[in-house]
Amino acid sequence: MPIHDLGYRAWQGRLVPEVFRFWAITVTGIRLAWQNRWLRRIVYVTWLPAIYLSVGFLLYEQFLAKDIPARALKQFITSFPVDDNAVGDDRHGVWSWLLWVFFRYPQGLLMVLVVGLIAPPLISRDVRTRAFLLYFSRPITRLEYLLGKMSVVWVYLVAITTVPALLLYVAAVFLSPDFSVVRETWDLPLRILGATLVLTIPTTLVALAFSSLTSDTRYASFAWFALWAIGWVTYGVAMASLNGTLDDRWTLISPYHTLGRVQSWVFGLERGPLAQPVLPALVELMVLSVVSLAVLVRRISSPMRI
Amino acid sequence: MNVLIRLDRITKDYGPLRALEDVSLALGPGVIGLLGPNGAGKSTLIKILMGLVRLSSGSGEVLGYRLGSQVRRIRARVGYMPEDDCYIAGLSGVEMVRFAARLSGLPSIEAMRRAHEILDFCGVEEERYRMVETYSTGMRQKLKFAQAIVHDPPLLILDEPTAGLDPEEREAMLGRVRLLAQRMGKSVLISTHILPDVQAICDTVVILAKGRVRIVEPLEVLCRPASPVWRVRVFGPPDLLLERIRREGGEVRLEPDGTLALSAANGIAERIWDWARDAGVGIRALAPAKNSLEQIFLEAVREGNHADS
Repeated sequence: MPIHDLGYRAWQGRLVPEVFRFWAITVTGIRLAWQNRWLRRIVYVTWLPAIYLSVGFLLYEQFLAKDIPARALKQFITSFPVDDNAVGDDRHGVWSWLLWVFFRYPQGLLMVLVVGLIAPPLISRDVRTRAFLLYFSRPITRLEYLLGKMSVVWVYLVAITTVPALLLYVAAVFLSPDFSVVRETWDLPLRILGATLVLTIPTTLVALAFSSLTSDTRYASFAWFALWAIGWVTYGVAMASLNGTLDDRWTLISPYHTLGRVQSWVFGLERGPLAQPVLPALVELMVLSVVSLAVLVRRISSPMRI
Repeated sequence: MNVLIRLDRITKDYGPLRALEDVSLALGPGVIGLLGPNGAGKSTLIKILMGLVRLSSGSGEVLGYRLGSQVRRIRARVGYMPEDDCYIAGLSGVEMVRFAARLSGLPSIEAMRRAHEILDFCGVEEERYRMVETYSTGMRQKLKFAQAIVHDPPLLILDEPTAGLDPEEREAMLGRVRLLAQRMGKSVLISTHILPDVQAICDTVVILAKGRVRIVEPLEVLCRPASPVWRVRVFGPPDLLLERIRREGGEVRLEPDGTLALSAANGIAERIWDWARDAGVGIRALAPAKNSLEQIFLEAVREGNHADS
């Protein structure tokens, strides 16, 4: 017996309020996920696009100050929504576009990788090791368990999308001539949060639903990546076969493009007479989320039935 | 009596299979042994007490909290050691116990301190820093026990706590349970197949068979024979004493191991010393006879089978 062994002692102390119990699951999940070397590398890489796009903000502000021509912007990003004749007074529009580009392209792709590394083991591992018995013999509800697991993915997604996007906005404010731009663009941080919700809720629920359906993490990972890959490929093939004249509704076959549509709406880019209705895409994401949630609740309850 | 667990006509069905039928119980504090053959409904009963499965019908209370509606309060005050091999993958032993404490609401630093203290108590030494996936069955049993007591619950529910333990570890585990019950005032419900474990530590025995409660009795009452009997062991051959007792009109029989089973009527235990002295025999042991728990268990199960057929 070690000399520091005090035997059994009663414990009397103040307990953490019940509403914060889920956080223990989240913190443990974050720490376990961070042990993955590949995840660490990808998370570091996810900040590079923010640095790159901050140059976009700088060049645009230079353009507004008439220090550089629109050509220079086009060299930076070919689809930059500014031309030589524009007076460039749509700062709100351009900033929104840059932030949307950040969410849509680099982070949209990196999100798939990050969630694909974090989410698959979160529940499948508990199914495999029958850890449910340990969780649910504690004062934890199934909803809190789910919240704890979802928060793991949310924390990482916020770290790779929301935080750099908000910092990008702050950097843009500092790169502009004066702080009066805040009056013009005050809604952008809110739009960033809105885009974050659109990104995190359906993706997290779908990934965790896959995770709950198997005790083998590899299957959950495969299903997650297959979902995105099949959407991309199908959309790409359809696009190529119709020489790019695809009806906009075809975006619904690809979760990636559906997310992009809704995010562009959140950033206020779906304007004008050519704007397509966003409702079908929004409904698709909602249906996907509700179905995934139903699967999750059912699967989390099922180990207790035997 | 201060009632710890009260169950009123509980029934649990898994589809067409009836796991528990009309179970009514009122158990007070102490160490309670839950016995029954495989498929008797022990684990289902425990899961119902923990709120892990829903009742098909009936009602009940644990520590004064209603099953179903106050399950969170029950779980906060009960330490549960599952029978199944279960663990949180990716954590070391001490991290897993700390995590269990955190889920029960202990603050972060306190949870770590408490986890180390409990692992010391459970005899988990440096292995606590190893990943739980690498643990042997015996180590996992200790870990499951540690996570069950880390939040200092007043009631422990232990499902097969000594399964997979070597004799030394089994004795140590029973010693811990005994200490918690006797010195720390914990109540314990133990589900087990191992009858000597029950005899070693339990005050009360509940025998389940085919989903029904067959026996609920204090161990002492249960093991007492229908009519009192003394068991006498002597130095040397018992024949002389046997003859003397018979001559005095005592009812006695010689058992194969040389023990005399003496019907204890009219202060016969006091007179046996005189008879032994007269017969020139030394008494080595004199104790009231007990029924074997194994026999009681088998009879209860057999009666249950007959009742069903």
